[in-house]
Amino acid sequence: MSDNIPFLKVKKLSVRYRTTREDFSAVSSVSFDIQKGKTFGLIGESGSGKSSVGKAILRLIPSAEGSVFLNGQPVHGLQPKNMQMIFQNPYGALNPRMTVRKVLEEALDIHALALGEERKPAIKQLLEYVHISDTLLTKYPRELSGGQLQRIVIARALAVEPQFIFCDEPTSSLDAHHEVLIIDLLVRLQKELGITYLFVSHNLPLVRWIADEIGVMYRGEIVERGSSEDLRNPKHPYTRSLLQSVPIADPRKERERMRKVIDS
Amino acid sequence: MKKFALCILLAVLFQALVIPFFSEANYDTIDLQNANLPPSFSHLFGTDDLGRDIFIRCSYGARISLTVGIAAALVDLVVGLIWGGIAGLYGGKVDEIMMRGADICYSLPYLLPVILLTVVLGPGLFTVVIALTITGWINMARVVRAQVMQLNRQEYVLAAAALGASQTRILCKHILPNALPSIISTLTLTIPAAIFAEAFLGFLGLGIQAPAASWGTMANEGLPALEYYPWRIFFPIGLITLTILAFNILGNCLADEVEIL
Amino acid sequence: MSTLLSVKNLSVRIRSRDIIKNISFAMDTGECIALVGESGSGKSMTAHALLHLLPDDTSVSVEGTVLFSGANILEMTKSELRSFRGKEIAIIFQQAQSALNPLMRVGTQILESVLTQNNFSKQKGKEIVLELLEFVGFPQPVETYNSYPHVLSGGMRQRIMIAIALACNPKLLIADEPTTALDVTTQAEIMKLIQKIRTEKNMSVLLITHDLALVSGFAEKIYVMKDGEIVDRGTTDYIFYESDNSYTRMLLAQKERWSCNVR
Repeated sequence: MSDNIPFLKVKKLSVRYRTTREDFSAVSSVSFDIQKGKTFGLIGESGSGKSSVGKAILRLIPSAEGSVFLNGQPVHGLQPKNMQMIFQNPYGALNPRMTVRKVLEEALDIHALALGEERKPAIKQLLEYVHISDTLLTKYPRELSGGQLQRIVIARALAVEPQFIFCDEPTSSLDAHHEVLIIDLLVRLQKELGITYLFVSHNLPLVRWIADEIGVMYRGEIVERGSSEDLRNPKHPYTRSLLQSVPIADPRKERERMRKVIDS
Repeated sequence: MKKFALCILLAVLFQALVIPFFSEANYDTIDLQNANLPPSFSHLFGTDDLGRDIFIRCSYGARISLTVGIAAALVDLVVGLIWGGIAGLYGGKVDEIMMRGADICYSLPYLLPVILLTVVLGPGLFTVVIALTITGWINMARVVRAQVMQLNRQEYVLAAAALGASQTRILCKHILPNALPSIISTLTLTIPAAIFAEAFLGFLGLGIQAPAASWGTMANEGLPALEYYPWRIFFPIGLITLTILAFNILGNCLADEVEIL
Repeated sequence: MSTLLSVKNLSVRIRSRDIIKNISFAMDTGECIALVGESGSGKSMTAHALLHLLPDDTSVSVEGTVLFSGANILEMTKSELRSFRGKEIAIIFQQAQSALNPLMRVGTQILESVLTQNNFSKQKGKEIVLELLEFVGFPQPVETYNSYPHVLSGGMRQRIMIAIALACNPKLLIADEPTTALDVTTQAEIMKLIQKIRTEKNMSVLLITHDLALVSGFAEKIYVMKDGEIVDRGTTDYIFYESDNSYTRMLLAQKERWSCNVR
């Protein structure tokens, strides 16, 4: 049975960037809940603030306002063992001078996990989670493909056994083939380990496929929210234009759609 | 290219360290009977107006030049790392104040503080090193600051922060190793600059005092005799040139290699 | 409806590697066709080769014929090419946004394009530029004329690139991945603009992309490229509904991968 205390509660989160030249609101008073083991999808285009939301939740943006509650407890600072993140560009997310082994070991070292004899099996386990052979342990990022690197990024996040992972466009830099593999991996990990995801992307069909609940972000605000089904008939004009803009691989439907647009 | 540079440097080093032990003569051994002799077997680089063997003097001069060059470069490195590192990490007002301070230092007419130092501290090796570092550190500080600022924005730094890494760990394990190519490159280019600066000061008469010799002071002494005894200026200057060239080549090669790593 | 562009047996070898292997296709006036393939398929290279844009050195060898309104582009001299490109065929490239000079106002950059191929006075040229700016969707053409590239968004800069391409009224517009790196709403707007160019300016369009879905509503004919070869061809309806080609089916399946709601 699940009580109705949401696993992650975000309340009135705001992020402002203040430089000498401009004062810009990246995120304006965003609130939502995520139930344990579920995925909340945040769909938005560039500049919508969706990345900033996740980073603010992880407390990586000190100037962010608003509150975040994990299991009912307020989150004031970094909680690396509870909340982690995976990145869009796997090449940029790994230190080019660290081997795969060093990357995973660092995560374990920071929190003094799996010391001594437990270290080797722990690393082996992490690699197994993400389906990476241990022959890759001695390799540097430049020797690996985007798909492999993204798995390492996921393994690094898993090393500290987080209950929540912020996925920041994790497949946007990957080709279609690897995208499927990584998404499959993330879904499987959620089933096996019960991890809660905040999944952010600009790819509407993907978010609709993976998320249990979706929020549509536009200029720092959530303008519409609902389940994947709800979003078939969007109410907000931005969501509607978003839906209309996604090209369908069906010539007849596309022509029909274009006719409607011209007629209107 | 690199082997060429290393050979030159090893030769100079050899000359600096080994030769003096094997010669009977010293850098200040005067032999007026044999003054101004051209290069020969007994005096490889000839003699100067006091009959001192120029080859020996160059060897001692090599010690001075190399010591000064490396010492000054190391001081520049330490000061530059700290200054640039702090400015780069903290940014904002701290960065503004620190870098504007550096700019002011940079715009000082270089010779003025050098002369002042010479007056206050008296001439000598120590004074020269200090004088060279007055403005030398600024370049390193700028390079370090630029690198730190750029690397701080990398996603793997954010990832390390998200993992709970301390600032120190991030600095030591993520930022500095990746800033290494630029730092090494700048360092190996600072050394020849320092060597040249010392030679320049020596040539002007500031710096090492007679009878001790650096390549610069030897060039100074050899200038009036250029027309008649050209070897007296040719060899010191030749050594300055070769050494600076070798360091520059080495620096570039190193930077490339560390980059590929 | 006459043949505008006819590519026959086009092959490109770079340093003894076959990049494009003997491809042939044709385009009629007023048509819109698409070259679709994944990265590495050679589709961008085809666009470069078509316009004789590949370097003329020993490592590159180009064979075949590219007939445009009867004239073989691959045999033109440098000066012929200069008056040919832009005036007859215009091309907008991938990452076109970064092809704008950051130090020059965008209006001036379009003006340059107009005046290079025509003998108009600066005044007349400027009028044409303002018209173009309005055509590509800028409601305040004068303001846009005086703007620098960095104040414009990615989508706006792409429109400027399109304006530059349209400046000399070419018969054929080649668009090489015109919407990569753009948001999906901006992407739709750019595609709408390309459609507008087709209908209002009666221009033929060759679209090069990796996204089959993008061209499903625009192209009449599609050529599927893989490893430098054309592996499938046909009308759009044929490619999407009838083709049995395994590679085409794979590309289509990839497009549909998130469309079913079964998790």
